[in-house]
Amino acid sequence: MSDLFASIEKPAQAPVPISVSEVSKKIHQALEGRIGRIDVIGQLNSPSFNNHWYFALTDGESKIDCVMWASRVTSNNSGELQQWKPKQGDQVIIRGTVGHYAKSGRTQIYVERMKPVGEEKGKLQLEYEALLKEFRDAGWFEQQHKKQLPQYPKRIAVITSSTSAAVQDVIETSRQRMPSVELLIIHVPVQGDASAFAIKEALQRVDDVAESMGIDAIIVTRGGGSLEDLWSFNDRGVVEAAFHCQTPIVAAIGHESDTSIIELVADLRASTPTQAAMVLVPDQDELLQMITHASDRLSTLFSRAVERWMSDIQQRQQKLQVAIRAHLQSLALEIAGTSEYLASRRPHTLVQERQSRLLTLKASMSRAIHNALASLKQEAMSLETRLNSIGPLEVLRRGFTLTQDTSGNVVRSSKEVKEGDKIITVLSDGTIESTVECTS
Amino acid sequence: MSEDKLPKPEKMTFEQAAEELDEIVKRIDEGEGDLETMMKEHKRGQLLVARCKQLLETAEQQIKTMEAEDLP
Repeated sequence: MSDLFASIEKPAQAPVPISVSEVSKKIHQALEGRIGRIDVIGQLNSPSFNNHWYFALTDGESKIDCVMWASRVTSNNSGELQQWKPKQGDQVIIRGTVGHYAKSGRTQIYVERMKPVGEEKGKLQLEYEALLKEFRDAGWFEQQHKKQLPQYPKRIAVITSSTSAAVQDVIETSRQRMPSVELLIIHVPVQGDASAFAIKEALQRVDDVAESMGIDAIIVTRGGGSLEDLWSFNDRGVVEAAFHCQTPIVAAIGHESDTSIIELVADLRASTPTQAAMVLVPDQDELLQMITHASDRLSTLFSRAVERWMSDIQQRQQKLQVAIRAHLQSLALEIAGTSEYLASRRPHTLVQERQSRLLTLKASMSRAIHNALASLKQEAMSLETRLNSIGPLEVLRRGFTLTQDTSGNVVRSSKEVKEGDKIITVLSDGTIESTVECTS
Repeated sequence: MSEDKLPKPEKMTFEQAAEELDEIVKRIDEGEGDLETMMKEHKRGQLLVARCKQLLETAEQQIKTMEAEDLP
């Protein structure tokens, strides 16, 4: 511990003083050697553009002086930057080496090259804006061109890089929502020079075979990137292919804040690849719920309908019964009338009628016979009376008698009887039986 | 459409089956048709429900990757 303080208090060797120029040179060498060539981004400040360019770069907290020699200015401003004239406040990127300017004692950057921040973007941005305007003016983004997405797609073509995270998001989301939806991944490079042509070709080829292959929709997707990375999706050929595509397209290119022109001509723009799969692939659980609901509703409605029909049938049945009863009564009356009429026309009735007449006739005849007999009897009695008035009985009534033997023979002479014979005396009102005591 | 001309449920897509099911529910809800028709529609509806469920419950995910030039 004491040795340590000792070394501080007593430096081993006192430094040899050097000149300002020497220290400046050392600083310059140190800066140049240790930092080397660097790119620095900052805001252009206090520019003085003559042959040589003098300016400062700031970032709000720090500031560093810069110098760009005339030779560098000339070479820098050829080619792409020919038209570019930096101005106060521009965000620029410079490339150069850090040095120390001994005469003014300043640390500064010796600039070899300077470009505006987003130089490429700026160029592409202009192109993007021009294309955007052109297609907007042509009405390609309007709703009338949007095709309806299939409600229940069976097969979806996904145009993207088959190795991208975007495609994995689409696959996973689709699997979670409805695994039965088939995904046809059409691999294309999604950035670089060849990508626009490949994407355009893929769109056209998929659309050509969509009907025969049963492709119901297309997802065009890519993960986030710079405008340059995403440029293929603003490419005229790609945009035109997407616009003319007959198959519905959902596009999800880059981050939500980036808008590629293909997303504007697509039938639907999704914010992410996951979102693209979500809008296109229906949720199996929701569909199952929907079908179960429809099934329940079908049963309920059918039960109600059957109840209504039963009720209706019962009412009709009651009405029918009443109507039948009334009709039957009416028929019964009619039948009774007809029956009566028919009865009067039946052979049996006719026979009865004739039998009745016969009986009547018989009765009449009987009566007539009886009357005739009575008349004859009356006549006979009259004759009898008349006969009797002139016969033996009438004589007897006048007091005379008739004698008969037991055999009924009239005794006309006393000699015809003898003593002891039985004789019968017939009077007008009866007979007397006597025994002969003597004859004379 | 007469019964003979209706597609067989087992050959229908989910969309076709679900759409026809919706129409049947709507018709029954509105009380269209006679009892016999309604009974036939109810029976058909049940077959369509079964078809939809079958389609939903099937399924292993099918993924095929190809280049555009490999499309038929």
